[in-house]
Amino acid sequence: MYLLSIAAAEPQGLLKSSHVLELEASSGQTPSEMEQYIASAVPERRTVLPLEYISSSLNKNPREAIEIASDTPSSLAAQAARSAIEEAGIDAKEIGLVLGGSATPLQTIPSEAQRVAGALSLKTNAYDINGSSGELSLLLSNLLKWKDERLPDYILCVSTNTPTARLDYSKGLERYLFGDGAVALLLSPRIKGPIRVGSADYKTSAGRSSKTRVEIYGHIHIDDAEYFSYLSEQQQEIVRTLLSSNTGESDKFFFIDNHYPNLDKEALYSLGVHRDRHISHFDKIGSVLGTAPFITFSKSKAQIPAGSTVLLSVAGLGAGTGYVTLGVE
Amino acid sequence: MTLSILSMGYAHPSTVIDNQFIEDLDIGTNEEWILSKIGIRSRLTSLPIDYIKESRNESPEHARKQREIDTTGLAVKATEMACERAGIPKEKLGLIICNTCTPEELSPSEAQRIADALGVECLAYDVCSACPAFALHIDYLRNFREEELPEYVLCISSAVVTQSVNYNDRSDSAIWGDGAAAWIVSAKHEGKLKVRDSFFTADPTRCDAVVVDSFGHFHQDGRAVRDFSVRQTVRLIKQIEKDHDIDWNRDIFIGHQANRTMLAQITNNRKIPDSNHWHNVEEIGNQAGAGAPATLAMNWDKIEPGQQIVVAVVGAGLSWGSILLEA
Repeated sequence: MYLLSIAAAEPQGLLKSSHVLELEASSGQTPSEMEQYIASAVPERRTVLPLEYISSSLNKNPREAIEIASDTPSSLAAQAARSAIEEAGIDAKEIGLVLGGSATPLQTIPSEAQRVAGALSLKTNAYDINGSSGELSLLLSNLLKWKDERLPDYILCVSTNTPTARLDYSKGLERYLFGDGAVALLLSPRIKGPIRVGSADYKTSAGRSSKTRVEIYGHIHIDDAEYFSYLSEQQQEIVRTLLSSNTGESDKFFFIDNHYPNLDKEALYSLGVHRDRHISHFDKIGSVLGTAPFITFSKSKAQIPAGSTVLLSVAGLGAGTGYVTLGVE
Repeated sequence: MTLSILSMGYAHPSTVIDNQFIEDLDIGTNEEWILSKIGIRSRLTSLPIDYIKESRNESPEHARKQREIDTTGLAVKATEMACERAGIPKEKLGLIICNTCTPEELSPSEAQRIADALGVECLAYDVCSACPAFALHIDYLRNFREEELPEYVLCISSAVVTQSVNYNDRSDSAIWGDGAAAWIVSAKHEGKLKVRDSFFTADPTRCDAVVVDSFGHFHQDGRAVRDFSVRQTVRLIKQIEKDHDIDWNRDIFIGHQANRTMLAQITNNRKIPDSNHWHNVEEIGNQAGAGAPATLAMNWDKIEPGQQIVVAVVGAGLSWGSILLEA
């Protein structure tokens, strides 16, 4: 499977953690230790919401956010898709399948893939395969397991999330963590491209899935900060497994982390991740749920030399974790 | 080995909305109109009848505090029936995929919620395209190399659409019911029904025709969807007839359970006798993606060896698909 192109789209709005800290201070609250840590780790992120709206309403009723948001998950995904299609230099009509996912859709039907394909005027097969947050590791692990004859020449995968429109800015560490964005991947099982999809995996943990949620009428909740420890452990396990099976080749690996707190960088470096080959935009984009690592890769791919392998660690809400390895040809 | 459906289960809530109740809402419809246009006599809902009468469900968010059962609860019941029928403990399930247009939360996936409720730790995620879910899931699983699929895959379609209905709308009020269906599929074990063929596709340029807003109600362009549904279902059946040996004196047709009148148009067009047309929409209403598989699950014990079951389903996206099963 070849990655012919990848493109990201982000809203223009910039939400600084200092702004949220000021809101908290003006309400007489003091940020917790974890909130302070996240605020310093994520000084800014992109948002679809006007700052005035956040300040005045604290987004107590997320339904109101829909009316004033600068973008929707679908519009961001469509924008990313157009860029990816243009970069690949193909006619969009050649796309035979669109797959998608999101944790923050504005509609439960049609599927996100169908909305994006519709925005691109595509009359093609489209449906969602959604872990919990549009994790592309799930989509790619699927495609790598499909029969070749069932795969069309061109496949568009989109992952899009606008979690800032689902945050309660009056409380909780979530308001310091999440940012908005979308990414689109154009893939082909048979037309060669600059990047080869090496491997992908995804797993879920039903027992832990309820510790995080995006309420259908409300906000994002992470009930237990220990959740981040779980994601960190999973990430270390991914790195341990992949680097140990590629002994002696760790200097070819670039690593993009899952963009969550409790990263434990030193643990990753002790497992073989090279400090100068660890790429993260967590401080610029925050956690965009399952989308973030691919946004970072989209923005960083030019700095990765041919012959390298990129390991993307992916995590979403609902305890969905996974990885993708990409070979830069 | 061919993919097989080993067993199926179904679940519905208990409260009945009959046509007299819809008529008494005084929203501009009556039983005569309902029977002639959509052919539905009653629907099953997870909402208390008094709640619907007093509030008209103007705020779907409030429905959650009133309901008898939710999407996950119905799915669990359907799954338990499917597991019992298959004689498979739920712990042996290796993958759970779910389709729903009424998820309990936007995240985690409904499949993960169901896995959690079942107490099963296996890979679980949603594969969604609303009403044609039965065809989507089968066609989706046929994409996989057989060795990549676990021994037992649980597919679920569950929806509590009445919780998204505005009961001031005379069309939507009369259509919807709630339900869930579950089917256990295996590429490693032969089952009662072998999958002989499947198909699924979409036309997303028409995706705005049927919508459920995350915060609000269900909306559809009724006339456009109706015409599309009949036309597309007939095309799907014709294609199966062309590619396979179908005998409507022996074989069974199951369509999308949206509208009994539309189903009658389809069966008349294809000359399918009533005795070989299985449906449940007349008594239960449109259960979205659960309707067609629930129909098959409800008739599970009537399936005869050698019989073929033709499923042709259409819905939001707009998307459509078909399955040919052989007993």
